[in-house]
Amino acid sequence: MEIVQQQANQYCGFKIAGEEYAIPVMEVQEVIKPLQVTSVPLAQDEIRGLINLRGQIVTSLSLRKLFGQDENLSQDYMNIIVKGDDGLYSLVVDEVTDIIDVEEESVERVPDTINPRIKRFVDRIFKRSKGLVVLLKIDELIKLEEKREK
Amino acid sequence: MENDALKNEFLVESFENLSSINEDLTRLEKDPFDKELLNKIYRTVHTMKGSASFLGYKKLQEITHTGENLLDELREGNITVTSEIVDTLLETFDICHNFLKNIEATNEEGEVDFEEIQKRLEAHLKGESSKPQENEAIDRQSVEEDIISQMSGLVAANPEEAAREAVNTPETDSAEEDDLDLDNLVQAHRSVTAKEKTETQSESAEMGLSSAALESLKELVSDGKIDASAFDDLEKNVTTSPVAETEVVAATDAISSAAMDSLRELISDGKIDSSALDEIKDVDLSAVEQSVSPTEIEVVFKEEHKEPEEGNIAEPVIKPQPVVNNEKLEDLDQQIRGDDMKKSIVDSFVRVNVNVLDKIMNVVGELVLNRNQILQYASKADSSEFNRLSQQLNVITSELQSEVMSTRMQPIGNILTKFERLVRDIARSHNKKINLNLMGSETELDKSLLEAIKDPLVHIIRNSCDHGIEDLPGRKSAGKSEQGTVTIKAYNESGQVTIEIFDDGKGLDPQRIGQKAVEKGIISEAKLNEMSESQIINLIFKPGFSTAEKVTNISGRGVGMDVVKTNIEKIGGTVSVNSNLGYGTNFKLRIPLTLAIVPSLMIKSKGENFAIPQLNLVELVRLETSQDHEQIETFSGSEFLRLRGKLTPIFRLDKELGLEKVQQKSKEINQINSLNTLNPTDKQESSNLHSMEEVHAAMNIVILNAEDNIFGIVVDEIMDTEEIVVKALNNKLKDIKIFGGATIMGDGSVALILDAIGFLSEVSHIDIEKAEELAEDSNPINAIDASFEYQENLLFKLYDDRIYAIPLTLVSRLEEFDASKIEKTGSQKIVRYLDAPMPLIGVEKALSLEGKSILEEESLPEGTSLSCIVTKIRGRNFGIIVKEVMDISIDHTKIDDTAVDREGIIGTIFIDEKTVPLLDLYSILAAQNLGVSNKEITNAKLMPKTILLVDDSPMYRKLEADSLREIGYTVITANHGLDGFEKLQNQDFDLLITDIEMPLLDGFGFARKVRDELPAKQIPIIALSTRVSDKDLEKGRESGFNHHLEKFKKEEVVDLVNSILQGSNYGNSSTAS
Repeated sequence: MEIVQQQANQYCGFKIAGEEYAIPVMEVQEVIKPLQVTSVPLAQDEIRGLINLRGQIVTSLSLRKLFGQDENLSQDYMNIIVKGDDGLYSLVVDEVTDIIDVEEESVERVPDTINPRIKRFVDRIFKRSKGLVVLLKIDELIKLEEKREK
Repeated sequence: MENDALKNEFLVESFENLSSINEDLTRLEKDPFDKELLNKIYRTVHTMKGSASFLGYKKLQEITHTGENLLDELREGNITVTSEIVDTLLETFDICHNFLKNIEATNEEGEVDFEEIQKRLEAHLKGESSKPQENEAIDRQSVEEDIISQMSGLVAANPEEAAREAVNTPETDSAEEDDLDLDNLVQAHRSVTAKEKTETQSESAEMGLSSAALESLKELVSDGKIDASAFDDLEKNVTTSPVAETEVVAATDAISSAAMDSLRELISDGKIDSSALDEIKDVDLSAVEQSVSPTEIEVVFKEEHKEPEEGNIAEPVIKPQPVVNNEKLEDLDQQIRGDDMKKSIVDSFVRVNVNVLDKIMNVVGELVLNRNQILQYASKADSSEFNRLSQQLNVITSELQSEVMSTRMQPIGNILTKFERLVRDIARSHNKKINLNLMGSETELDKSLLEAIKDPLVHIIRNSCDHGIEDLPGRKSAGKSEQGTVTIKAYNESGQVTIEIFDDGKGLDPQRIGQKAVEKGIISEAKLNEMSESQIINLIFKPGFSTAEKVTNISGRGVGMDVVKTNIEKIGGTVSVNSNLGYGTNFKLRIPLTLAIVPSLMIKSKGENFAIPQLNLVELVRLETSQDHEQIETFSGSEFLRLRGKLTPIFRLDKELGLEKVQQKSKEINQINSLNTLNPTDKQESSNLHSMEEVHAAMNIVILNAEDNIFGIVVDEIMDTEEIVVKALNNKLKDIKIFGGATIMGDGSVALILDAIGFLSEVSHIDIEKAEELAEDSNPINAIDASFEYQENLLFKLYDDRIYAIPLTLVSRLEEFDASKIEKTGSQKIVRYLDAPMPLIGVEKALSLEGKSILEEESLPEGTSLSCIVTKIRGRNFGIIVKEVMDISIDHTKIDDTAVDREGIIGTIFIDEKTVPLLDLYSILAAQNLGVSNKEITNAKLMPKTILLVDDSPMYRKLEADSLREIGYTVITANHGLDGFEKLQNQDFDLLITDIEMPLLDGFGFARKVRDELPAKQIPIIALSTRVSDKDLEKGRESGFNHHLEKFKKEEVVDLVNSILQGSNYGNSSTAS
């Protein structure tokens, strides 16, 4: 029981455009290096394409695009594989930092002033001694957005 | 936990047992004396009772116990099997099924009322247990007496005693001893042979029984007790020699089916061994020699040698046994056999959860991909040993893959046999006689698909039995045999499994269906009038439809057929119905072999791979030279391919998908990471290819069919066909309808699957959702059906921004002209086209529309281009200036000519839920005062001739008549064959032109009628149809057509008419052109 409790407070940290974010470690299936991506024509901007993860098709999502930033085309991005209700998603991030133990007492609600583009994805903010970590809601990340005008 | 596992085991086993009991009971009813079957049922019930009591399910135990008692009495022969008893037993086990379901759901038996059935079971046990016993005894006796009395007239000395001896001698003997000793057998056989002898003399008397005898022999054969070759020989004997036939008759007739059963048991028990039989044979031969005349010996001898021992000799020997002591034999049977037989079958099977199979399948899929990668790597590596090993891996993996796939395949018979019960129950409750005929039960289908089609099949079969097959008086008055037949036929056809369900019932009444549909508001009256019979029949698949005049408990709840349709379509199948009023209905289901694997064509565009399911593929077109490229018409940004004279819309895949951008994106994503080592050169090449295409390199067009909309897509490269494994796309990508999924290719990369219907709806102007509905209404499946007629119209916008249509037959080209090319002669604007001036016409004024044609503008700005439809009328080209060409509509609805509100419009057609006016180009052009009149037409000096034109479509009738009248012929029109025939009787015509598809009397029938009944007329007949197939041509020739042409080829028709009527060609050309 204790282990589960402990894991529940563990987050997988990663960086996008220099800022640190994290998602619950329990939701992460694995972290992999870049794989070949097949683009999907006509798809939303943030969708990089499809990758083949050991015979399973994974939809690759660029978190940079999702957060309204320019695609960083560095060579060593990472895929964080998470499981959605409808299959696997790969969250493309600049780098994976570490497993972060989130202490409940230093967690805060989402400030109202946060970038509205990102706001819907944010769960809470974790204040660390050095810097903030934005805790994200995976469900929101992989949720189908309202159909946009093409 | 342990209990749970036990319970599950019990449930799985019991459900299986129950379903086999159901099947067996229905079979038992047909063959009440099948002891083996009864024993099997008894054993199964017994097992169930045992398990139930072990697990403490009291009620289940109680009810199975009573059921078991009744079965026991049945197999003891104390009670005869009747339909009532079978009913009660079936219901008993239905209750057991309910108990089991409750246990599955709640762990408890729950409340199921079984008092009543319990009482009925007991009633069968008590009330009828003594009576049937007598009956049975009497039955047996009377059978024997029958045989005896048949013989008696012919037998010389004391025949009755001889026969009785035959029956009685072994009776006492074997009753006393459990082991059948040889002496008894010999003795028994001797007496039977004696009886046989007498029987052979009664040849003629017995002839009538021969078929029954053969039947019982066949039964033996099918049970594997007599081998087939022996039976064939025997049958040969029977057919070649009448003497032999009576011999067989005599031998077999004497054997009651009960006797055969016990014989079979004994043999399978190994109780009769071959050495004993050999001796019998010897004895038998001598006995025969003693008592039978030489010719007869020969016949008997033949049989002896060609039939294995069991067939001929052993049967009479054991025959009397069951009369004597059933119980003892039964015991014997049980002792000896025990569970041996059961084990041998059951032990070779293992029950596996389908989920496990699915998982194995997935893992194998991954293995295959891994293998592919290893193979690719090995081909680059130097090590020959590594190469060898990878090849080995290749072979093994392939084998594993195919084996795993085959585990999921199951014969369709698994579900078809269950319908025996269904049909039987319906027949009994409705006092009908229905015979279920199963064909192709061995056809295999993926397990999950098999499950998915079960319910739809139940609905269809219920419908066939309930609504289709008439009740007894109904069948009688229709002049049919009392017994109706429902046939289920399954077979493999072009990579799919087709299941057909026929019944020979009353068929579907289109009138009643139409009426009902209107009543229920499924369709408007106006629309109904436009529909063909087969379209109306297919209305039964619409939600909320039910034709049953009274709702029965079997079908007719109004949720049937639409659910069938949706369920079948969910698994990628199709369902259609055909019916012949008064003669029956035929449902046709097409099911893909498996869901997971789809044969597809792999194509490439801008370096990206795509898969196109072959289901949608019509053909591949390659335009090699620049000349070929002229087949592509560009018009207002839409492209059309002239495909055998028809304009087919084509789309460039790279353009529609924005592949230029995509290519850029994937380059950025992949190449920067130097991941794209797999095929960077490929991409370069194909983009080169594309740039070359601009200067008219070869062009590949894939022609697809999306629910009867034919269109083409232009791709860079056509690769191979591959069997791909379909993987679903995530929700984020679901709303891109163009893609039906994704798949993983041999090299490990991902390819998207193009969905033809989705593609068309995404790229075409017309909302295909609606078009789909239209297509559904017109039933795409019936494209195979010959009674299928369609018309094609070109849709365009005029300057009042509304959509209009003209028949595609009138369109010769679509052009665009630059405004600067337009010249003026007087007030008429013309343009030089094909080296001749072509008048340009704006139709807005002629139709008094609101908008103003661009032609009427005083000056057109430089660079304006005008969209123009070129039409050839009276041998001259005219250009009709329109605002925008929209699309081509292919539809099957009739033209409504009731709502014509102004000159120049033939009628309206219904496209995409909108009413579109169809322009009458002839009258528009006539009103244009173009200085062209009939006098100028080259064919002005025609001999006056009269033509009879028969067509049911008002539009074609008008079009054809107009074009012929223009040339100077007199044209009389008729609506259909009968109308035409009347007119033909009353008036002389020089030529008859007829449509094929017409109500009341079609073109074929019409021609036949004319040829048969009015042979003196000798009138040439030209048939016109929308499609001309070889079969149609053949049929047309037989019916008496002189020529058979496609409707759309207007000029050919006119040429042909001229050549016939002006005398040059007719007479020496009797073949259809």
